[in-house]
Amino acid sequence: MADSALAPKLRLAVQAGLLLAVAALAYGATTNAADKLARQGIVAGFGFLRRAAGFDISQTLIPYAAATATYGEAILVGLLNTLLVASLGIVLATILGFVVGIARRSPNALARGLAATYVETLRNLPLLLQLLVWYVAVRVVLPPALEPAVFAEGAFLTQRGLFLPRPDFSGTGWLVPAAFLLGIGATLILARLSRRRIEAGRTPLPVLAAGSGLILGLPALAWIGLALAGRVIPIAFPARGPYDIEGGLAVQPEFAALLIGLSTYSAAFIAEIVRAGLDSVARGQEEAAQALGLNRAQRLRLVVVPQAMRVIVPPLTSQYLSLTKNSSLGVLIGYPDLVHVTMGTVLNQTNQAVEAVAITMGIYLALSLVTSVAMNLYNRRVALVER
Amino acid sequence: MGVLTKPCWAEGSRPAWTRRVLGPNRAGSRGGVLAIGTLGEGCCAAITPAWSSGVNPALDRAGGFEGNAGAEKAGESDARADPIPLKDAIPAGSSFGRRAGSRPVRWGIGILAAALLLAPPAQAQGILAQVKARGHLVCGVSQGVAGFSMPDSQGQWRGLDVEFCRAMAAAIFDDPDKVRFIPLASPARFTAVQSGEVDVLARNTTWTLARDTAAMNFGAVNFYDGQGFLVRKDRNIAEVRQLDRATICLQQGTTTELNLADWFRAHGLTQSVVTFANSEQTLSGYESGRCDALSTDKSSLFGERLKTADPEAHVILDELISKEPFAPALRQGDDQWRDIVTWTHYAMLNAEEAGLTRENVEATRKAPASPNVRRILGLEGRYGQDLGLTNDWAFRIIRHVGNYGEVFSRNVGEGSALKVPRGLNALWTQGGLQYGPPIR
Amino acid sequence: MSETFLRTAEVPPRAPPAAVGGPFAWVRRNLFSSLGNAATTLVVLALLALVLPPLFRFLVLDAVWTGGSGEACRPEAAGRPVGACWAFIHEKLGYLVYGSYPLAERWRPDAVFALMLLGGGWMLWLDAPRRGLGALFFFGVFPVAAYLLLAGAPALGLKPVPTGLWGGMIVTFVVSLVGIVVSLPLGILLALGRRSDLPVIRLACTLFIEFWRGVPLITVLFMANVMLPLFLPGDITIDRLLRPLVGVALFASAYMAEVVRGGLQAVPPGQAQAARALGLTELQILRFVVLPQAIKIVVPGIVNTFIGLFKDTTLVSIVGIADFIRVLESARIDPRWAAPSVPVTAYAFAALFYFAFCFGMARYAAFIERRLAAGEGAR
Repeated sequence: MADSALAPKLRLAVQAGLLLAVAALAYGATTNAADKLARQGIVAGFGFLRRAAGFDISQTLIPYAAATATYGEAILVGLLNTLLVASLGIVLATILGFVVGIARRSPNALARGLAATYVETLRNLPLLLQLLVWYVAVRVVLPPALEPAVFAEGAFLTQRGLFLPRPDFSGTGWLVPAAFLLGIGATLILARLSRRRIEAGRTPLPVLAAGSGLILGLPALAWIGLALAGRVIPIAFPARGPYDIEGGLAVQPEFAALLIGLSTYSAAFIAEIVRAGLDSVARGQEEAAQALGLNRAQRLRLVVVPQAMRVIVPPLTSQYLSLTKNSSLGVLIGYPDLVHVTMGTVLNQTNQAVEAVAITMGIYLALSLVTSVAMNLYNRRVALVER
Repeated sequence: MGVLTKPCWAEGSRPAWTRRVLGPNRAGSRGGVLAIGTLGEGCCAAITPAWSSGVNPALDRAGGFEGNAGAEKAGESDARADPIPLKDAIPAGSSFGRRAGSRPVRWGIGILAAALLLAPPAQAQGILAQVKARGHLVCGVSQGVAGFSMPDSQGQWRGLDVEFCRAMAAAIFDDPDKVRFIPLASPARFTAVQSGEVDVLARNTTWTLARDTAAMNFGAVNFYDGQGFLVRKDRNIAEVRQLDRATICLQQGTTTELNLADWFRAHGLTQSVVTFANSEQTLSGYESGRCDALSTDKSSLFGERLKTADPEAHVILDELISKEPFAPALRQGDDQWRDIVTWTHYAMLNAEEAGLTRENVEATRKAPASPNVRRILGLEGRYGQDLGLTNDWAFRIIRHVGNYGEVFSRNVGEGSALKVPRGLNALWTQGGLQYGPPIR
Repeated sequence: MSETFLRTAEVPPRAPPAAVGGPFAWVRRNLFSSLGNAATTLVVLALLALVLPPLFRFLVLDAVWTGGSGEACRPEAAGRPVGACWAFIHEKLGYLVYGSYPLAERWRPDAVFALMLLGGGWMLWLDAPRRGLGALFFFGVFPVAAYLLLAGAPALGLKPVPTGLWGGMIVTFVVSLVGIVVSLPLGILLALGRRSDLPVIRLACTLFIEFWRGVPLITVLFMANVMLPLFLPGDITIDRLLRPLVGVALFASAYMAEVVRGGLQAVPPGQAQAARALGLTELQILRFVVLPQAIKIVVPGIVNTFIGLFKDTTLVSIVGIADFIRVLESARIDPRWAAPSVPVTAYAFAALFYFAFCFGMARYAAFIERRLAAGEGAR
């Protein structure tokens, strides 16, 4: 804006100066770093990613053996842990955030007050403190490792985690998760067909009933089918070991504390975004819907929320991004996420500081970029609804 | 500026002090940074600093004068503040002095910062000379390991490693308080040594080959340690093998992670680990029941056990799964400084062996019993001077700090809350590994 | 011809409407307007009944207020159920506020706190006299004075106190204040740069802002810790506390830049055009017309950024800086104070501290927002 009045020569000089300064800084920093690394006997480069890591990680989504796995695989394990907690956190925070946000506009005064208290309390406390509290809470409330709470056959809950039976989908077992995905796909198509019918003025399809039937029924059918064909899916049941419950699917307390902490914290911010979105919808819209005889749930679902989404989505994107970035705080409570593995362990053991920092930051930047693009696409769709 | 090039540190003598000055090279184009060393006798020599290797070039380049070779790069560093006033080094009225002083600074902060960054590292002096010129020793310590280095409630540093630094300060300055402590986190400690941020690192650091070759040297081992385990007494665990399939809490960023995985693998056992970013969380994890054992250096375990709600409910296993010799680390390439670091510990060992203590050393010095004691206390020979110190250097250490046994007992042993048994750290005469080569 | 119908009987009076005012009407309208509403009310009430009394009992009724060690807070020693152990906070308060700062010198941080209150109050009180001078004080004089007081200046007779001894609330406030003092001017420059029509400047500012906003603060702190020393030439060392400060300042600047950019965009272009028509130079337009309006609009945004920054300072504890959380953690595991309720008490105290500060600031931001809105309405 203001610079347009500058003389062309000055414009050029200012920009050249900046370029030069940046280049000089970069050059100086690089030569100094190279010099120091050479003196420390550290070979720059990413070759270390192929060396054996030799350390254990407490939660691994892919097979990982300390003896043979490389640093690269260790970093991948960390990244997957980050993605797991972030994606589940996003789902939970969105649900909780919408519930609280809508509660803040509830006709019930107590619900409004409770929602407001929730938002103000969680928003005004550092996430790190909340994580520490959740982590202590998880460990204090739950029973000790060898006196587990038993829910059902083979499901244990102790302060070392929740242990569940784990079906083994290897071999032909892949058909079951495939059927599950198929069910989701079919439900989405059904929902679209139903919407078409509504727009054409015909009666909607029973999406909810049919969808849940498909999503649950198809895998069950696949399971039974496989069993009848003599390929029973083996289930690993957790059992008591000398120190711990062993085997099965273990949900670790660090993961649980981080997930709870992240989603409740982000939900407070999402609730505020939702409230602002609801407020942005003209009052007349809801009154008109009321006049048409829609009840409150229908008014919200069919009239108010779809219009509010246009206002909600952009800030929601940045909230999702900050949730993903905030998942790195798990490093303090021992959750082996990307930062924990790369900057905590790999950096210290290889001394490849520059590379470890570059990998971590590069991955987060890429995640930010992908999320932004995905949400922009969605935003475009939502915006098109406006006529 | 005329530069005298008369190298005079032949045959084992060393420059008493060295310093960096600004001066034009012989071509007279721009300033070059030179290192000048003088000896006590008043002869001096000028040499260019070795930019890339950067470690005590005074010794590497003794006798060589390569003014032109160093000048091009050297010129870049003159935007930086110089450690000595220019007027001390440059004859009054020389054109150079004016030029350097009034060098116009046209570029903004970015360029200034760039110039700062561009300046190549230069460490032209011996560390001892730097320490003496500074007036105090800079010692890297931990951020708080009970018994080794930890500030007390008044902010005074206490511990075995701290007393080692105080002993060095006593030997150099005759004042154990002329030392500044810099608490360092695990990952940062080696960079601090290599960059010269600390003169010596006494931070329960394990001496390993990789570290020794990474531009660092190590002094004598002042504490033999190993990785151990803290477990609950009521679990009746006597040896590490019984921890098969157990969950173990660790602090990340140390060798304990690797040792543990190695050991369990080598013995065909399995374990789960939970790693935390700091020691408080690690201990909380163990104490709350998240883990069956806490693993770290055995010496630290005594302190960690004291921090639990009921220390009596926990035991430290005798067995060790790794060798962790703790030794002070220093920058590579300064043999004199290495000797001082090494022999500070040996002096304390010799003192213990000879029965010299903080209480009796003054009296003993007046009437020394044996030639050995006379040599230790500097009444015979020039051992201290050859070290670059004074002859009574060991006497100063004993008088201000005490012998190794006293220091051990006071900080980690029987006289402290930790009650670490002497074990491997007993004198060789009592079956331990602490063996001080003779002072003679 | 027309027929006329006349009503012969009076219409009976309608029943009076249910009260529309007063507490009963409020309760009916807000709590029991429908069946679902009434159910919600009952559920919430049950929830509150379940949570509030035990909380109150823990924090106040069963709390231990005095005592010299953890003994006083152990239920078996006290002979009654024990709630929060406030005696622990009472004894550790000095450590929590000052860290290992030498006892004899603690008046200096106190003086800094006083100056901070003075400067902060001057800046935040909208009707205060000479606010320009206040800004100068807060952004110019205060940082220098605070540095001299905390770090020491032998020339002024203040004993040097190495940053390794600073701790607790001192560090928390130092980190957040340095963050705000550096990030505000830097953020304004970046925001202007991002709106500049010089392509190189715009690109550089955009990249800078997006980079810092794309990575988590904790990675920035790790980077500052391990990489800053690498980038500097050999014999220049950088203080351990300064490293995270640099990281926090750069990180906060990027967020501040976006806040300020929002404000700049909200100033109608007509303002600058009118000023240009009056013959003001571009610099004058920026200084007298655009920036004052933009800054006024973004005051709530700045305060909210500051709240975020204040909460984020807790992250420096992960890279080994003894901030409030870190000293709290090490005080919490003091064996002398080993008692079951001590950790909970410590966290409750931290929660109160952060909540009081952040909630206060948030209320202030909301107040400014309302006031600005009212100002807009009056125009």
